Amino acid sequence: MTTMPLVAEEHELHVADHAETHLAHHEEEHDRPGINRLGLWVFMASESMLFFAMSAARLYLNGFNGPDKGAVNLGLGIGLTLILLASSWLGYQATGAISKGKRRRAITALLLASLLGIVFIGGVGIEWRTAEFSQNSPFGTAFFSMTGLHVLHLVTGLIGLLLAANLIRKGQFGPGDHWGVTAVVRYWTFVDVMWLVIVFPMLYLL
Amino acid sequence: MRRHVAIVGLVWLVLTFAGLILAQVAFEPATFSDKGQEIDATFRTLLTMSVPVFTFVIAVLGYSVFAFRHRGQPEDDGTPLTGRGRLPLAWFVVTSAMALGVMVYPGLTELPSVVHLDAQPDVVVRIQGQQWRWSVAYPQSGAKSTTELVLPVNRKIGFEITSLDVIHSVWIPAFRLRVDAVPGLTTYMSFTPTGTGDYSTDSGLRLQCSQLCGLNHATMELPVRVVTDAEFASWIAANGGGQQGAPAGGGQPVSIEAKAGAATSGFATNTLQAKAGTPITFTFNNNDPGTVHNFALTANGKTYATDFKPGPASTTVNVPALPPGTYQFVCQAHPTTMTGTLTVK
Amino acid sequence: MTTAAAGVLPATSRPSRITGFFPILRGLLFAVIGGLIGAGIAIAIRSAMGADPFDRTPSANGTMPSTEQIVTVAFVFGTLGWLLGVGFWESTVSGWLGYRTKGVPTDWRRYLTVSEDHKVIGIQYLATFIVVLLIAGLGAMTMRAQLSQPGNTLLSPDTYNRIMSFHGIAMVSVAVASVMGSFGNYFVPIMIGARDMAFPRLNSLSYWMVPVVIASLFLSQLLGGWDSGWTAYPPLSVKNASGQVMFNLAIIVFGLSSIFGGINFIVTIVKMRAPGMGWGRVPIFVWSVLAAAFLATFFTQFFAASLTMVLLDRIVGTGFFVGQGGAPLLYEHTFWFYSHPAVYIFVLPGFGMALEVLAHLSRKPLFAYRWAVAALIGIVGMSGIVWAHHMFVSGMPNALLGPFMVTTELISIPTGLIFLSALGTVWMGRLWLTTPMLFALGFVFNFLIGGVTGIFLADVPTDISLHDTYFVVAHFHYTIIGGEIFALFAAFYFWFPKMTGRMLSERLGKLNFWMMFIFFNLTFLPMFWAGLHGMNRRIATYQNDLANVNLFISISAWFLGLSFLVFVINVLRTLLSKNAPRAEANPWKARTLEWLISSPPPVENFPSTPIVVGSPYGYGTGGRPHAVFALTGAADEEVTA
Repeated sequence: MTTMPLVAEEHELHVADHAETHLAHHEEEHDRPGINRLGLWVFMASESMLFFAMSAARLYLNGFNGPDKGAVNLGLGIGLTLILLASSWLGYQATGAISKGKRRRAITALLLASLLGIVFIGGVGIEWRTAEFSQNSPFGTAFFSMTGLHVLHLVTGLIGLLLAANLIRKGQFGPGDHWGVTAVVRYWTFVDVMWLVIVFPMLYLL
Repeated sequence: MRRHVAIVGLVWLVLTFAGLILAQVAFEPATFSDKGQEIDATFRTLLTMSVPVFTFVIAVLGYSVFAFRHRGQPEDDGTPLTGRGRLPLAWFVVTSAMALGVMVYPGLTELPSVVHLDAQPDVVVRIQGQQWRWSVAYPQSGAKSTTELVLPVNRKIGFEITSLDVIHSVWIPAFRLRVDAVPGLTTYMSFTPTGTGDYSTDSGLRLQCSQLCGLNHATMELPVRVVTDAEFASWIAANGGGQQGAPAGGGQPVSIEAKAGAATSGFATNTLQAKAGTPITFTFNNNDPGTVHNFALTANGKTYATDFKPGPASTTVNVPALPPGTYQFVCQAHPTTMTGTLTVK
Repeated sequence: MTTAAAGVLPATSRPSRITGFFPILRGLLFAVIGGLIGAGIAIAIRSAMGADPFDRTPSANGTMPSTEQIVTVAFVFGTLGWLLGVGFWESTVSGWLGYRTKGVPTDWRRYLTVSEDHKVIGIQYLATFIVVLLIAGLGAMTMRAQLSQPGNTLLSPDTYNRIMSFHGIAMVSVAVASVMGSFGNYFVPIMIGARDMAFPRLNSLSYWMVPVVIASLFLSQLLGGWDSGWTAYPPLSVKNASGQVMFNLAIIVFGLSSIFGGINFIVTIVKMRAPGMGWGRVPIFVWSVLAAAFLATFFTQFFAASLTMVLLDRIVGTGFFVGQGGAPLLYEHTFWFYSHPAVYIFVLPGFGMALEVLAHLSRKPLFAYRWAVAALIGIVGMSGIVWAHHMFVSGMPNALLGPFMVTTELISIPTGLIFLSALGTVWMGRLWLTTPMLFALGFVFNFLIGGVTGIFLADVPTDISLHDTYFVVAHFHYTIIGGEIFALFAAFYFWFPKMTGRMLSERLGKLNFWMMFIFFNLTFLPMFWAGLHGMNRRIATYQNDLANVNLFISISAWFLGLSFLVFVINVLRTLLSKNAPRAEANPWKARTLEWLISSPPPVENFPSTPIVVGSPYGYGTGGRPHAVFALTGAADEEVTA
């Protein structure tokens, strides 16, 4: 047992080219996949609070009252929900495909998932155009702000899916390293879940 | 160790004793309401209860700094007390007991009587806040004022509080009471004034806005006067009381309008005519969307004003028979730009 | 998005660096370009929807929706432009698009661009927030000048309200981010034996959003500023000048920065502790940052949501707070649901910091460590159920008063345990009364006053009388300046030698402490009296009979301001002078990991992974050290540090 000189290493380390060693070291150490996974979970948990906040506002403004009969199109709502579910399923097909190295299949699945996302946004657009309530009525306030918030998240997820598809095309991911794809797909699913368990029941079912 | 504990204990006792004496010094300004007295008593109770807690920390902290300080870098370590034994548990139990204690008394025991609302107050006052003035109305008699709030002593008072625009807060420091005036909501306050006085002798007798409400928040105040029953009755009579019962439009009708943009362009007309010797009913049509206006006529040293309402709205005010002459009228929300003259012949 | 792509690493072995012209200038240029593009998009959308893009008709609330819509979209694109220009294009976004990313400079320029080194980011935060602290402090000095006599005409009511509102939010941002962002970033990874934070680029993003926030608060003044305080209660904030929109947007971005920071701390502390660092060996400062990070991560959304609702009411005419169904109290609930926990975001790292300094400079184990940790967790757990004590006079149902009084008084129990830990730690210690120790002791004294006066505000009857008076102003300044800012200064004096390798002047440090301590108390103690005597908050003038006490407060406040000048002189003198005394690796002879490495620390923090073998606070036990280093390539040959 010897006492380690405290300052000895400093100078050699300082003159080294840090930018690269720093990054490289960083990736080697610790449980990087675990860190990424936890980070995403915490992010999603944190983001869901935003939806809870908007639901609280919706309940505060309009109580447990729903919209007037026929003001929202329940059939369209159910259809949109199914579209989102299908889109999530396609996302997971993409993850499965890339983990087996099937790039073309993964790209196709991601693009189809994005397409369904765009269809969904179009559906919300129809709902907005045909809404019979004003945006400053209590229900209208809740409806437009919650669907708007959700569409904003969808657009972010959509950009993520397209970026991931593009990176696969450029040969970025493979069976060994496909966290980027997994992450955007999980986020995409998270956005779908927010619709399924918060936005849809709050606006269509209450 | 034992010696240190003994000294700290002694210091604590001395400080607590001194603190308890200091806590008896009366420093509050005068209070003018029954609930104010309760609140002051609660304040005093809490102050007394907090003295031993405060002095305990000061004694231990002060003594430690004094007795265990070290000139320069200490050459050895302190006694390794880790706090793993019973002491933290004891501290936890004692502080929990204190917190629960203060929660029950004076917290929950004093709460009901202070927030209690009288169902049948002797005098109801409707207080309306708007940027940046107060107006008060006495629905039982029809009296109104925008210049002062007058209350009879030893009568149960009930406030019904609303706001026209943003959140304000009704605070009368001498009564120690406060509640916000929230647009779209009516809030309530009830109490009994216990002494006569007015703003000129005690600045606590003022109705002060205590919720940030924009530009002139600091000066949004209304003098408060607590008077005897007789003085109250004559004040009510002099401020339009007793006329509420008169049928609407009982007097000769005179109408006036504010169009969009009236805040800068003024009333639609700045001259009005009326006949002398008969009561007049003014109808004020505010057609300025979203903007608050009213019509206020000054005659015989009194002000007759309609309620403040955002347009479009129509409000009326009855004025008793006037002698011939000219009288000034204004919108009290825009007293510089919206003015005019009433000619009575 | 950022999180999602955190694993997308460039496939390059030797990335070149972010160069070209100055990243900050480029960021500004891109921000302007982005702003113009955003404005263009907003104008195009308005035209496409058949509305006159420059419609000057005010809304029913008297605001100008057309302007505010354009400002909002311009702000979003301007912010993106700034971030891309300042270095995120090269470091991150180009990687998302499949191009090569570039590394960061290693010389002094690394402080002026996107960096992935937590120590650089910590210093960026520290420098930024000291500047913000000083600017917001100047605001306070101006306010005290106005309030030195009743009816003063130095400031117009509007100017006063705007300065007061700016002071409020700027100081809240200092309170949220100064300890966490600077010392948290710099020292948490080192104290747990990690080489960096979990997500270095996300960390950098958290920081580089801050200049957007500060700049927007200033730019807001060009649109009339905002006069609704930092709380921005509607309907006032839906009806006032368009500057309010910039405020809301800025604080939403600040919230995002705070959330990203919180996520980063949680993952770092949970996942990246050195071998051997079980939860029982984590330094208390790290615990406190973890606790605050939880609050930042899970509550900030409610503030963002509240501000978004105000924004929507203004720019697209929703009816959250105005109109037929509008509910102003909704805002107060969602706002305080964040903003009460926020005060624990301010003060928990302050607790941790003060306890850290007290233990090391008393040369004692941290007393009742487990209870102190339990207290931090207890405060986090309870902070979400006390918010409505800010609303006792708001007009909410009376039935809610009792429950919120009860929960609020319950939360004093864990706070009491922090005091137990502090008192037990100094008891029988060897108190080395250096400047950081003085600040830590000052913290305990000030926070005691802040805590005791809090009881009067938690109790409904007394709160009805004291709410929104200077009693409240005094109370929260005692907890935030007296608590957190004193802890910030303790941390600064304690860690400055480690961060810079230089020792600050002890003499100036003590002058700084005593001036600050004395004049802080002389400024804020009389405010309790003023509040009891009918002085309400946020006012540009007051009753004549309060003239004397206010003059006294103003003069004390100016001296308090001067004490910050002493601090600035001390720091600048040490940094600029060539012969300032050098700091050794461990000037305080403390045990935690940051003191086992050189001052300033090497870029990689540690020569090899530290192995934690004992308590960080094992003073006087003669037991094992806190950590040892395994020499690289010879793991079996351990060396004690």
